[in-house]
Amino acid sequence: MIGLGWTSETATVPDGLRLHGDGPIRALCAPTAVSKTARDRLGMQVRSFDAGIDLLPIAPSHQISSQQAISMMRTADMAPIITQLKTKGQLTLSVQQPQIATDPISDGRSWLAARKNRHDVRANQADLLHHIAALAGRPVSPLRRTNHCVQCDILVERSEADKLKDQLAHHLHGSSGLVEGVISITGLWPPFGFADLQRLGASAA
Amino acid sequence: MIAPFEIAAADLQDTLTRVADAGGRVQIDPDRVENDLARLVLGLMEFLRQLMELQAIRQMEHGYLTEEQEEKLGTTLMRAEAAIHDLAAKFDLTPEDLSLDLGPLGRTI
Amino acid sequence: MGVELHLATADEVLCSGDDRLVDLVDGLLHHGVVVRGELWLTVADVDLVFLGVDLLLAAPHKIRPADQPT
Repeated sequence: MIGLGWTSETATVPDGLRLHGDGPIRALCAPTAVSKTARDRLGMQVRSFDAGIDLLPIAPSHQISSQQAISMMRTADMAPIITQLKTKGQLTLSVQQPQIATDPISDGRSWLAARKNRHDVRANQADLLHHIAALAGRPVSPLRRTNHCVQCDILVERSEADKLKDQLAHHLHGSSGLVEGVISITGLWPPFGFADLQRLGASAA
Repeated sequence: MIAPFEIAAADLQDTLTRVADAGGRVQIDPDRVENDLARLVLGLMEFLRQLMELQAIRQMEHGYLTEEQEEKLGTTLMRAEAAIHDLAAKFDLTPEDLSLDLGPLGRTI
Repeated sequence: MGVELHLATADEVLCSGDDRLVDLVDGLLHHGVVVRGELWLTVADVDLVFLGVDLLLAAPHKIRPADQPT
């Protein structure tokens, strides 16, 4: 079995998934056959989360066996973060990167200047995300970059997620001219951006 | 005076985590020793090169560099990037396999 | 140009083949609990060397006096 995360739930889990452990916190695990890839694991996590299970999720890119997940649960004090994340999920904000035309460059100064431009563009995207995230008035994860966009996550109560989504959408439509870009608001996701084991001050060797 | 610029250990840790597989392991396979070692070493090299690039940009922005220094720094960093990518390609590694972009994001601001 | 806004649920994102949304998912995959900075060199499933990282890299001006910026 593969670990998907930890939970204080004792409720019935979706078909095929199992809770391991007998303490107040248990490891949620899925059969290896259906959780081979990072995307498979993400899918299972979303399924459990949508079924109402509050989850301290393991990063989907990490394949952690159920035994490892159980031993991490015993060595790290997860109760505080699990309590903190209970009944919460995240909306993920994403701003698409504008295409930057690049001419072939041979001299060092132009290369450095081109890199500076790239950094400036990214700084603007970061500002835009910070601006939107500030509107939410909720905890925000550090920014991260993928191949085509910059993202951050907003931690929100499950019950308030739809309302927040609407509020942000409404505000963004109303403020055209002040902000621009291709923006996505997706979710509700399990709170990946806030599940930082290091914040627990515990190593899970 | 350039604003304080620190790379926390966590950034390097992130790079190492990227270089490793899902279980935090760099599996060194007898049949592909070169590739597996290259992934580790080139990942670290690219990490350090990106740090130098960021710092060069900051110094340029603050006007601390002469034209000549800008030219030399730019050329060197550009060639270093090309060299790392060339080496990576020889080991069937893409730039994405190696790099953690340190853009003006998160802790690196 | 103004704002082009897209809203989607987690399910819609996961089921979509749209490049933009695939990229969005890629951004999520590395987040969650990770065993950070723990790196093992492993041969034949035997863990041989553990690299723990605890070091700080600082810009030169942090080390040099402020009046010698380069």
